[in-house]
Amino acid sequence: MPTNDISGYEKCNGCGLCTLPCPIWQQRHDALLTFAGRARALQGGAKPGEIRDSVDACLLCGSCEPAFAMDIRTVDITLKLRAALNGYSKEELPHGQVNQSSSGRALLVPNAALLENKDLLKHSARLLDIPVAEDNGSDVLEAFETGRRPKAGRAVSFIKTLTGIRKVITADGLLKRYMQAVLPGLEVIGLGEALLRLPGMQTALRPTDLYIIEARSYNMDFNRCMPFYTDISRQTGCAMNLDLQRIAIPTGGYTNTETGNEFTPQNTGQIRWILEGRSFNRIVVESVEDIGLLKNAEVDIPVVHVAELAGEDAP
Amino acid sequence: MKQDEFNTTKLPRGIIPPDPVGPDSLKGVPRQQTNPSRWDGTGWNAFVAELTSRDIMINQSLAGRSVYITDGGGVAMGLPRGVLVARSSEDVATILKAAQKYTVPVSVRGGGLTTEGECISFGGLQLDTRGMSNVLHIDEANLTVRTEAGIYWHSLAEALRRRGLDYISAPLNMTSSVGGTLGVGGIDINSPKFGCSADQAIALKVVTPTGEIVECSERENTELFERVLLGYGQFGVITEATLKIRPFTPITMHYFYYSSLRTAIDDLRFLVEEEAADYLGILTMLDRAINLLVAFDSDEKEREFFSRYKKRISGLGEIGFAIHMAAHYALHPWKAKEALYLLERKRSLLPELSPAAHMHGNKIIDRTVVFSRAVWKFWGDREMVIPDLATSSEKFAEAVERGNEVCRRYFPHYTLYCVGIKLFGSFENRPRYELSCIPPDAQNFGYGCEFEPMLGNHNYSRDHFQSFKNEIYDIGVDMGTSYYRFGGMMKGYIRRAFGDELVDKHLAMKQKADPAMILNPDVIF
Repeated sequence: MPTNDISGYEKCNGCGLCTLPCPIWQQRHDALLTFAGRARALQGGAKPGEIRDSVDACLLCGSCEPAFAMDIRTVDITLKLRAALNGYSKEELPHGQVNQSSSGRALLVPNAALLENKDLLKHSARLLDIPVAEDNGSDVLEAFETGRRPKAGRAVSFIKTLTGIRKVITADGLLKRYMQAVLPGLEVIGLGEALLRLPGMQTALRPTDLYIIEARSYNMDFNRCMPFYTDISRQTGCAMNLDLQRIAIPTGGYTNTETGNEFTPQNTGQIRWILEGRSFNRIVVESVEDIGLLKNAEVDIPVVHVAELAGEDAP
Repeated sequence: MKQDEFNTTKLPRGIIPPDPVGPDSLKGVPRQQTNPSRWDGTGWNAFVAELTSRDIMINQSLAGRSVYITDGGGVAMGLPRGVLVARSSEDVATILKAAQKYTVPVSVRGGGLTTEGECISFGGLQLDTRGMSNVLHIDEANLTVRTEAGIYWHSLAEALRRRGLDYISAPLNMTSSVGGTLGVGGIDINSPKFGCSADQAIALKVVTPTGEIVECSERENTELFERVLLGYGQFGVITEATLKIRPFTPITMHYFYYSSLRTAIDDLRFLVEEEAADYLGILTMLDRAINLLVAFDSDEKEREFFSRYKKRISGLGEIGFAIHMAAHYALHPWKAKEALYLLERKRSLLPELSPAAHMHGNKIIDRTVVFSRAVWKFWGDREMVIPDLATSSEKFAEAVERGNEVCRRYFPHYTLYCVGIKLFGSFENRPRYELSCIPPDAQNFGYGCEFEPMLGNHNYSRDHFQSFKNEIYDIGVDMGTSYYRFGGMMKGYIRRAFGDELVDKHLAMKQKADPAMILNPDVIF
């Protein structure tokens, strides 16, 4: 068995706070399928193979991490468990060097859904005034997410494409976590946040909007993102997919279904939970996948991508 | 009674064994651990086979069972033989019927936040009610909600808040379940105004120990309603509840500081009984640094407090108290370590009670999030030992002071958390209060104090914890109080505190309702 240090789970005291924002909990209400359940099972002597269903079910949305009163890197532990179950060690991850000089470039790294939506990709890149990465590393990221070994040399070749890069803007929050592991120090920002920081974008949000944050990006960077988005919500009056703990509720739309979890594009349970009990006239999304999810949920309200707010007059 | 009479493993179910705490809990005698003995498994296979034939699958894997090995207290340990996440009242009914037939003990758990092992299964079936977590109907006009009872209060709040509504009172802990709370009371810092959470229930759907599904309320099946509320899970499983709710309001919090426990308690009682604030509670940092929390739902109530009541209490503001304490430590320089502890506590804890993201101006928006996170961050060790005393107004100060003396002998640092609880009537018109955390001699208001050691990085033995708890519980026996934590490892105190007549009366009711004595064994009986 390759070495995957999964230490950290032993700190779990069973408080259950991590289950509150967990999308798997929200949909299934089965404690064993949550991080708390995995931690308790491991504490009780279960082997990783005995909790495979639970390990596979996780969306890696990171909503459990900021919920913890203790400092437990829940997603890292789950990723290591996945790797261990696939006979791969996270210690095999390559490591690169970040260009720390201010002359380094910024780069937009799209995910598969944004690549498919060429107009939106072009529009986003133009707004941000940065080039689009030729290699988005989606296969490398998929291997990272599923805990499998990437094709020989692919991780290294992908990282090489980031040589000289100072800052990455990503459409997939999981890339933040990957970069933290392989290129620590590289500044990685979610596409939604990057666009919202452009002049005039925030003022285009209306009090009658529901703004759906890409949860992986937000939750991984909770301490920085939470005040930023909370301020926007307070200033514009728009609602957001934040729970009472100010953790982003994931839609599940950007999850790799290869892992065996149940969040296919047809699973609209989470999006329905986000919409329930709220009144709004427009939905603004950061993640392209969420446009499809909302369509599948037959939501009869206009949906726009955050990039499409550019040029709108303030309400 | 001889020690060998405590061997209870051979007694048939339905016979109440001698209490395993027994005389050993009395003062001056070494304390012993009090976990119930593990059930021997007779009838389990037939029980599982019958449920399987009805498409109810029991999880018997080690992984599945380990999730439930302990409770919020982390001291009692017990592995169930199997686990089921109940999805409906019908599931629960089928299980309880089979459990009666095969005499299989069933321990019910929601959030699992008991601290005396009350929700732990020692070898039987662990029934997890959280599979029933749907909010069924919100009546905005009449301010009620119908919800499945396995839901966390926090999840209920999430659903209500989107409509500008809130629950009325619930424990300051986001992962308490509605059903579990109604079964034990549920104390909030607004309990001086609204009473315990159980008093917010309008109607319940209950599965009785013999598997009947019954709707009950103050008008329908009243006896069951009164038995299940504050009934510690003995008379049925609450699967749905209709609760009173209210419009959501942020709260304004003020802190007053005391160096005398007695003075702080006197002021708490005065403010509670005058109904001077919407939220009241005491939280100590040291027994010479006591914090009285006073909070309001409305600006009007806040103004009234400052015009009518503020001048009648002795608490100081932060600056005044800082000067007072500086003078104290200047005259007692050998206590510099204590002063440093206090400063560190103030520096780390107080900002957590007003985090920017949960504040709007000077108002706390999400009080449960704020307090629950603080509770788990500062007191949420792997083990949580929180004995308590629930008393009448007259006995409260003495009970707290005596408990404080016990704390001082066992732990370098601890917190006392004191609240008042409004009562709605007497035992005659609210039978639910009888044999519960509500003190038998309380009139109009009850009071509770939790004695919570801060364990930090110290490793204490279970015996140390048990000795500490027993000394606190002994105070209750001496003074004729009740306890908020009522059962599980401390169940031996129930008979001692309440007397044979009352306990035997409830035991007879329990035996009638639950002939095989399978539902939540070892909690009360």
